[in-house]
Amino acid sequence: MTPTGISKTLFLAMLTQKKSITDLEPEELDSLLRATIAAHMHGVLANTVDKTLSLLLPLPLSRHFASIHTFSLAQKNQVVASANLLSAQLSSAGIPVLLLKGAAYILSNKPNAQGRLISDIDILVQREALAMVESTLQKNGWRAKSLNDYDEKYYREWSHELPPYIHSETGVILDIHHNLIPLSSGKTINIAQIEATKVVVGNNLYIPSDAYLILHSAIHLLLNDDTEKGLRDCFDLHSLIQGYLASETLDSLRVIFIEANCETEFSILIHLLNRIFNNEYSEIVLNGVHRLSWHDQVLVNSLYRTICPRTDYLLDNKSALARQHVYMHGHLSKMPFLLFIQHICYKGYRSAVKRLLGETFFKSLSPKE
Amino acid sequence: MISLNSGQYTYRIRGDIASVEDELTRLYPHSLNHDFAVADFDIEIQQTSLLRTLLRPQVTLNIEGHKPFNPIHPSKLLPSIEWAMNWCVSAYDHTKLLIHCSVAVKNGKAILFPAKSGSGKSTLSAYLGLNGWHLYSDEMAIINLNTGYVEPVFRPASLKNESIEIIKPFVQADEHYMSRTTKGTHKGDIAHVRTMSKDVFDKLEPSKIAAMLFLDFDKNKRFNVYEIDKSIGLAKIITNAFNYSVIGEAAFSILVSIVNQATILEVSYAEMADIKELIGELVI
Repeated sequence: MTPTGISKTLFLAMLTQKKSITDLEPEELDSLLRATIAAHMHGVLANTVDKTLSLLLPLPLSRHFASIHTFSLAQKNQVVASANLLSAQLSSAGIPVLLLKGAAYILSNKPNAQGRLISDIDILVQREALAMVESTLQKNGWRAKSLNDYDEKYYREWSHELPPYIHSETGVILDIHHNLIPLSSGKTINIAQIEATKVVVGNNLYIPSDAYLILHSAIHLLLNDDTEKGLRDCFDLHSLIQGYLASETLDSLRVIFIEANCETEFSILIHLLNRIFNNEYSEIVLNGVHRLSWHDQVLVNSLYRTICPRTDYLLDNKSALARQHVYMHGHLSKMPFLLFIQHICYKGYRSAVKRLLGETFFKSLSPKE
Repeated sequence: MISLNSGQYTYRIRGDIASVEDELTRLYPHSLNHDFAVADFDIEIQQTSLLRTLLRPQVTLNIEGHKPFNPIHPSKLLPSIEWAMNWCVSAYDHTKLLIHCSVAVKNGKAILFPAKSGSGKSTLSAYLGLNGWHLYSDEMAIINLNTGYVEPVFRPASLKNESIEIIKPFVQADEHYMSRTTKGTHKGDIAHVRTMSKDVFDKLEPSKIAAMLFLDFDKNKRFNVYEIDKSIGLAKIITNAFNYSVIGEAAFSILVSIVNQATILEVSYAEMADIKELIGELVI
């Protein structure tokens, strides 16, 4: 017997609050709970249901919702504490702490921070300051996670971030970026401009302006080979863009994307959000400014089909071809073709071995992994 | 697919369950296949690889999209399912304070035995459960944050290696059952033992915590009991709590009130009967 499952349309309608949770049958509620947990979105769903209503739901839902509420509060406290710790440690070296992604949303109380789960803290520092940042952190209880030689080389030579650091007492994971986009992508973002327009959120604590928060989240979504947390990114982007449009226009946002050589990505993003969020962008899409090539239309379609998690509880969501397309696109945007071939040969070999001999084959060879 | 009700949580276990279905039926009488549309947790047994399916088969447990454990041979599935059920609770339930310990109850008073590897906690709790006490949990105390009372869960005790033979003679009554032994897991040989019937379980009530015993098992030591300072007891119990830092203030407050009303002892022992006598006095 397999689970009943719900359609992706219903799943998205629940998350975008187009339909009330009280309208669902118990089996549908179960599938909704399973799919949102798999998508790392049950905190967001919980946030759309008020406390009195939650108590009317079957116990597994009300309990998961109460639990994730407690968890997100604890997470918020920990992110604030870690940001303050970093601020104190790096200010002695004269380095400002520019928070990105989840930590930035939490420190600036963005609406999308509510119930959002994060797995690490991301900061952006200038490339010239990297050595200083690393040595300061190492003296203050942070250590770099050990990686295998290939992954270490990937981070150091081609990536836009360092291998992750971990705090020895709290276990908090820190990603140190020196750019928003992989060096191998050929695109470079004007980091000086992000620095110049940064917004103060605390003592020696900053976040990028809204436009750059959006650009970064979009890059994370579109120039990525893995859409595991893609849906969460889309919800971030929708919420951030709605906030941005309260005082700015979509055209000024587009300018920021154009400067980063990401004009196509901008159009793809708006088309994708339009599909997920019930045509809320249709006016913009329809006026023809952001017309897509056939290839990009296919990509929007593939992204839409892979944005939800792979789980038996979501029907019409098992497109292997679309996943392959997104994987190829993500890699090709991050690196030149030759490097891509080299990279997939290495990763492909490992994946073939894992398929034959099991997920943990390499773990048993090298205790480092 | 099996639906399992532990009295506190409901689990859906999917995939190839043929090898464990019999044992689960015996360990959880009147608790399986209760049809529930909404489950607290979803555990799926998955095959790991194409070649492995034919040659050295392996299965892995997918818990709500996570795979926290290494793959295992299908014959070693039963203990893994038990561990996965524990993992679900400690990973996802922050509405209750969860403390890593076993809980034995008599006369409406609970004794907590916080875990220390090699302390004989599991052996002792199975022994007590089979000898006149109610085993509320072998793995974690589930504490209500409003009342400070510990809640019962219908789960078997887990026994390792030589404990299995030590406990076997006490499994006598109809309401007791010991599972077959799974050999060679990463924790050694494992068997599970049910210490009460579902009828008995259904009559259990949440219980006040009367005492906490920090155990030190040593074959060569004399039986020795020290009462320890409340503040040290509080610090020690916090290090055993799974979700103390997640719950924060409410967890601190309830633990302070629990510690203030409970007897906190450090006990070194070689004979389980000595402990049984000691705690018998604590719940009068």
